[in-house]
Amino acid sequence: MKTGNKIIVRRNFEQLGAFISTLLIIAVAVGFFVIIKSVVASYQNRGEEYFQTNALAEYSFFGEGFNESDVSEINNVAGVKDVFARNVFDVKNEDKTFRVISAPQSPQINIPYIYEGEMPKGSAQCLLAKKYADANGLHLGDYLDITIAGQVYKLKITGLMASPEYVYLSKNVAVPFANPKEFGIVMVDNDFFQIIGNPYYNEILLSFNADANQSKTVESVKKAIDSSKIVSETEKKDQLSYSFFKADLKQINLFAYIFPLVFLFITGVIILVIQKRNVIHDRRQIGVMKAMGLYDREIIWIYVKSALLLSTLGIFIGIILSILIGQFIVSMFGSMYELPNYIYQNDFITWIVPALAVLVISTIASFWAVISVTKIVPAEAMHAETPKQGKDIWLQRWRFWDHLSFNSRYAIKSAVRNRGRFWAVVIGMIATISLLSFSFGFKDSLQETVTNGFENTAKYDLSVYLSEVPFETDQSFLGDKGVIDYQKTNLIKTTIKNGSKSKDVTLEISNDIFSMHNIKNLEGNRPDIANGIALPRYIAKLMDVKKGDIVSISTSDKQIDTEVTVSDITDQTANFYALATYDFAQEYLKLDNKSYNTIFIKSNNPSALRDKITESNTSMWVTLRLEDAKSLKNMMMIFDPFIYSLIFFAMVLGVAVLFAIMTINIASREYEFVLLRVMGYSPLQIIVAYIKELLIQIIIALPLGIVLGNLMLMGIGDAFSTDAFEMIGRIYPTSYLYSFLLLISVMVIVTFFAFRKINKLDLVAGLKEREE
Amino acid sequence: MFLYKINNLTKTYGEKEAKVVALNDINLEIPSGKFIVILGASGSGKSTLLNIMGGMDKPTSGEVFFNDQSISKYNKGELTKYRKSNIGFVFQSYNLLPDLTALENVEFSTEIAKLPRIKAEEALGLVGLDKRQRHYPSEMSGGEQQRVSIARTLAKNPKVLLCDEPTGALDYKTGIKVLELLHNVHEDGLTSVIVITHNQDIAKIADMVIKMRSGEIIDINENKKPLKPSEVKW
Repeated sequence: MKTGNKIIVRRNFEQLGAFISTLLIIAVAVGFFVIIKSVVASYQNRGEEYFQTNALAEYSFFGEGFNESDVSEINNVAGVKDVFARNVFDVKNEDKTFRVISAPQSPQINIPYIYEGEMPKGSAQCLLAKKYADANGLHLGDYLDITIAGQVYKLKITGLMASPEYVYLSKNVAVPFANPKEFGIVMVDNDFFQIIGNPYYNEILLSFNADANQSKTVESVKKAIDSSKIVSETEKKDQLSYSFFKADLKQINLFAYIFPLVFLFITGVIILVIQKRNVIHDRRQIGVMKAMGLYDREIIWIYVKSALLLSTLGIFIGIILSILIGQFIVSMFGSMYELPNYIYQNDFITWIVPALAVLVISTIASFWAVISVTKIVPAEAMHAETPKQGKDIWLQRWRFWDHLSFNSRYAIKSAVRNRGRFWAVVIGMIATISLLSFSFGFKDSLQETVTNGFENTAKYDLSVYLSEVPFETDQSFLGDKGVIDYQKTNLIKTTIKNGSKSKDVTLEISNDIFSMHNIKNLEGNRPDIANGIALPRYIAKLMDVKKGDIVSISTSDKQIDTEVTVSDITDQTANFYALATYDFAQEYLKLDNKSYNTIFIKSNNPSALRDKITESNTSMWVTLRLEDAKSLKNMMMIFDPFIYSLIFFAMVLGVAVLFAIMTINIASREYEFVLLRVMGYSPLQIIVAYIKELLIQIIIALPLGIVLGNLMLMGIGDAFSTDAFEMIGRIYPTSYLYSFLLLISVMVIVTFFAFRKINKLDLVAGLKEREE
Repeated sequence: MFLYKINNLTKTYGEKEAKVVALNDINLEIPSGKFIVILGASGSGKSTLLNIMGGMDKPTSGEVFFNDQSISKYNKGELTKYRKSNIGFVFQSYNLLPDLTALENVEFSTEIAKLPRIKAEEALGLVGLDKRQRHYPSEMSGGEQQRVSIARTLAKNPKVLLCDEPTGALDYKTGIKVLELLHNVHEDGLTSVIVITHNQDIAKIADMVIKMRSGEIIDINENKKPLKPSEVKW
């Protein structure tokens, strides 16, 4: 029906404010979903391709004293495709840390991606991480000075590279995202290690044949070499960058559903309100159409088509937006990872789901709204509808009602009378507050994770990691005047199993764990570690373990291989350690030697102490608690642009919903407002009543929005928790305040436009238009 | 064969104390091809009768036959089809679709009709509005709007034209023009016309006048010498 289409188009232009607002909400919902899903798809494709092409190691052994003979032995093991023995060590030069790594020459494992230049040859050349070079103004051909044990080595930069191992610039588990200005990856020829007197390898990387049984091959490799050289080992899935990559895909993907779902729901609500109003407004027209012989279904189709036109346009704009700003959104996260040749590609497959969802929602909402068309009897529709019968509301039973001004009573009664629009605004406000408090809360939760992990829980200032030594062995620096207190600890990588569930967990064994960690059990008391091991809540949850359960615990060298009782569950949210005492470990875990490989130190000058330790003990690795916290904070800050976009979108939603309903509200109540003005009410008095109505809606929406925001935050907690930390949903009181203030500012913007509209009402024409 | 045959037609609204009898046991036979006027004061039930004859409302009891077919038992779909195929309405308040131009209002009707008699432009030409095709209802006078309404109805090729106070909102001169138009439609043999009005002078142009009061028919007169619309004065 061509003419019916014209009615639709012109009607939408008459309600331009509501039309554009709804269009915006649909466009944001679709655009947001398509961008996120496309980011995930293209990031996943390019990431997997990168890991594949540049051959990220499938298995890694870390240890000491590996040599060429080990390499030859491993090469003979069935199932091994390639072996890469290399040297890796960190060297600190003032505020910079260089990770010096053997460059793979013939082995095809962990191949660097060279942006420009070539592989280093000889002992005086290096490949440098492009991120470090860019951050420090270094170029191809420049020289990099590295000081090792007081000796300065000048390395010519022959190439700028990225590595599949460092898609995320992770120094270690504690520093998952290092500052590229302070942490650089340097790849050198093996000759360099000969010169500095370090001919042995400390890492062996493996790749396997496609048909190889990985676990059996790994066992064979361990038998082929002196397994005492192996300190720890890692599968590809546990490699830091790779695991962050996988976790990020999961986390980003989750966001594709939260916001668009809320936007989609609101789209349905607004379409419902607009169409209900249209049916009331068009009652007589509908009567005429029926009188002319149009079937109910044909009239309903006119309205449904109107919503479908709106939806189709919104989908189209959303897709255009996703194409235009997708790359921009991706670049916001550019500092988070380094994936060479990663290009955002708008994936048209991702268009289908949101497009269908929007079309279905708008059709259902529209159909639901206009089904009342069937009840209209054409003969009755020709006459003006009898005004709704006024009714006392329950508030009128209270004495205070009589003390209210006419303005207040009018505001309350209007709110009760226009229930559909009233609740639509309330729902819009709930959505806005929930999304705002969720967005702020997301930032708060990240902050809380850092605070809890490094400020509330950790009492130490430095951690010193060294090769395992007998407990009685003392370190000279422990006598330094900067040391206030210390605790020798053994951190052992173990595998804990509960039935089919298995998890790699570091076991912290110490005489007095709680002198360095403020860890509590779930009841808020000191955890029981006298009768078993204590597990962090997050790990216990993943493994479905409760206090009192028995789990099996083992190390790769089988030094520990037994069953143990979980004596308590702890409240740790970062640096997850299973806890045990030396006494328990020796008696029940059958740990033969009392030794330590870590010292937690309280210091009155941590930085100076760190420098002293690293200067005199190059084999020790020292981290400052505050630097670890800063590193984690840096990683969390990557989410800031994303969080600000979420807040922006929540604001857009708030303005769009309130503006759309305001437009409909004023159009529907034009007669009422004009009458009030004719009777002598000023536009200001009308807007005051309007504001009072909004305040009633805020009072209802605020608690519900906050509850929903908290629920959403709790819902994503698990997805954002990693092996490094557990994200606990937390919204700070200031965030509630910000959310409230932003909602109020949305309200002010919309009220300003409402005032303008009311001020411009045509008093003569308005009295002829009566809808309700 | 009668155009309409009405047996014991009653229509009530409301219940108990609020019950209003709009039509009370009406019996009526309306011949085909005539210009009929149903005359009555406000509240006499004439509009209710017209609405039931036009299939816009259903009787409480009794039967209405259109061309020997009972329309009283029609369901909603059948009534719609009946209106679409047989009836043209002209309302006192014109009831044009405000979002459509004059031409589009007529086109809307021809699109519904499937088998329109004439094109929308021709229909507007018949009512003398070929130069106002692109105007919206809000840009036209009441008389012009009513003429568009008649054009809309004519284009649809109805078997009967039901007109509810077609001059009620118009001044005398414009009213006469509209009546002339309706008269010409009838004279040209295009369709039967039934006009309801409270204006006794308009009844003078009818072939048959049916008088109503309080929901009952009080008189039916055949007009031997109907006047031309231009001869009527009020």
